[in-house]
Amino acid sequence: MQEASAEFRRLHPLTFVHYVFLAIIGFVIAWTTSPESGIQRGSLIFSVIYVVIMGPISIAKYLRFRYYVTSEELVMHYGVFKRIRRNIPSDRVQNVAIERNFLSRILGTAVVKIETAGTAQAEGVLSYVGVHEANRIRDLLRTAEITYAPDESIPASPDFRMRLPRLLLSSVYQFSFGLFAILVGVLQQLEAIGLINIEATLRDIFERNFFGPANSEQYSLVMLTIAFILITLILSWILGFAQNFIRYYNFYIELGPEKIHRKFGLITVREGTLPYKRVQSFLIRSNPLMRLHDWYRMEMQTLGLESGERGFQPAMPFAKWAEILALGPKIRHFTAPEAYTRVSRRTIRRRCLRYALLILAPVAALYLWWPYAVWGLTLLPISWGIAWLQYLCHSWSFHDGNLFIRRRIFSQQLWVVPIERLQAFEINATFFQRRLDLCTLRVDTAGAGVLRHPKIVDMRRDDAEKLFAELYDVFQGTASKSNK
Amino acid sequence: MEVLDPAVKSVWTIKSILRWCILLPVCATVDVTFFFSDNTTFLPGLWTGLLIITCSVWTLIVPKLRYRFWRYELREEDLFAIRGIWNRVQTIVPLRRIQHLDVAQDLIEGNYDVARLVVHTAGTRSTDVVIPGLPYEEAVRLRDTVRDFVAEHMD
Repeated sequence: MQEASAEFRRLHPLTFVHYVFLAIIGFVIAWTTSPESGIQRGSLIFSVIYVVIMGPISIAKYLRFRYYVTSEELVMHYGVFKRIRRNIPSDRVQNVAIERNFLSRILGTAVVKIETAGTAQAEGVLSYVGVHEANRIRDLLRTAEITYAPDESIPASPDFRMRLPRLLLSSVYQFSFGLFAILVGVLQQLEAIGLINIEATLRDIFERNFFGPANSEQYSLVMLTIAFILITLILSWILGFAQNFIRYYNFYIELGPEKIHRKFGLITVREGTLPYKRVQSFLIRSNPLMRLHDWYRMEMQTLGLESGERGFQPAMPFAKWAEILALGPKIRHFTAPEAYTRVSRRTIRRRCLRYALLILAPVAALYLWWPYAVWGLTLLPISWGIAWLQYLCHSWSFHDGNLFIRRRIFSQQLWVVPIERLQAFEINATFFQRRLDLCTLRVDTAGAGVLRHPKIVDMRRDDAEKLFAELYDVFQGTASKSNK
Repeated sequence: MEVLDPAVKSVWTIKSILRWCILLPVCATVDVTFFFSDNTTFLPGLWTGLLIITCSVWTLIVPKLRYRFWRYELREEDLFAIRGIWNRVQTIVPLRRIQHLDVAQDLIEGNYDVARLVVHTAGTRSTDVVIPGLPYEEAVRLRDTVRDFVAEHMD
């Protein structure tokens, strides 16, 4: 025990710089978002309390955190109020990821994340250690077959690499309604605290460019709203562009004999190795525009949850279909099916009813106060249109030991789920589905997200039972094979 | 297919009442506040009354229906379960996918000598397949059977 404790190490002393940096960001947010009248006192008191409480805790946390690594295990002792000793045997380690954000690259530090096959939480995180120490830990835990130096040589011929023109092109396609919604929220928040005045700014732009100051009555609030939406759309597209560019800068993936090696990022460089057996399924994403030009994004769904990736890790951020068919099967075997089967046509009826209710409820509520809301009923055909498009975009195929599921109109998904990787099989039928003799077939893979998971919605009951039995049959077949 | 222990209906009934009772302080506060104010929009005791009616109807119907639709079967290589009133769910958990098993029992269940068998897989959606309302010995027996299977088929 005495010998072991001699090997115990502390985290890098510059960890404190990271703490201070985080605290400063926190203060800035607290100061800028607090209401104007309270800025002086409220935020100051908050900051002082924060420093008084968090300062000693951070120091205690640092002093309590000790670890040592041998080729057999990683031992961590930590915790201020609750003392924890965690041992992670190196044969349980599935992946060692080294992450360096902008600040750690200046300071020469890194975060080492050790992922195991257990639950997402049971992972070891060392934040922060020196770069050399990070490499030493990874080498000791022997997850990397070859020692990859993070900053130096890039392998001569990676299996897939995002060069600058392609990265730029891929960034052009990045528009997400999610980002748009966030941006609208942020702008409204900024207006609420008085940093910007959206209406005045827009009126100003209108007056200068389109109408003279004299004709300020010519444009209505409706036009201002449209202008606001347009400008926000453009802004969110620019943000999406930047986000994609920064995230996938210099992306490469290399398929080693036993592990996949990836490295990418401009500000935060993510680097990691991944054993093939950890890949559970593929998710190939696209949208109508990307699809038109034959561009796709392939993600691997893996067991552990790497923060920010939600269990989905990019394998090819932007690639042609042929490239995906060339690289994907090397990671996990699949061949593209010739034909897909659509779900039951009755899905249109069920979805249409659901969306109609979604439109009717607010219209009815609004009608009580505002009779013109009745015009909202003209939106009803949209529910049928969406239902019909969703029917067209949703199909499946069971081909060559993989279940393929296509879903979604805009953010199109193609799931490639190897049958031998399935965890559980499920058939759901809600009340409405039972009336239409429909059901939803779900398959569960390890580490799938709660929001994004493979399912076939509204299959005919007989078809679903048949596919269910067939899938389970094949699954049992692979089981007996792997047991022998 | 096996059915659950009928005692689970009582357990669910008690739990249902307890769960609805969480709302009781809120409703009671609203009613008392309105009772002492000049506002006469609501009948006195309206919200508490509504809560009691909803709770009674729910508690009388839901546990019985839930019990009626619950079926499970431990087959040779998998655990098969069908349940759900509104959303009928039919699940197969292959035994060799099971990561670990729990037999859980809370105070109310202990009183009726029933237990839950919680089956954990590495998946996310059906990570925890819970079979409620098993007689305690039955739950332990099931656990041991599954455990033996898993131990035999794991390397």
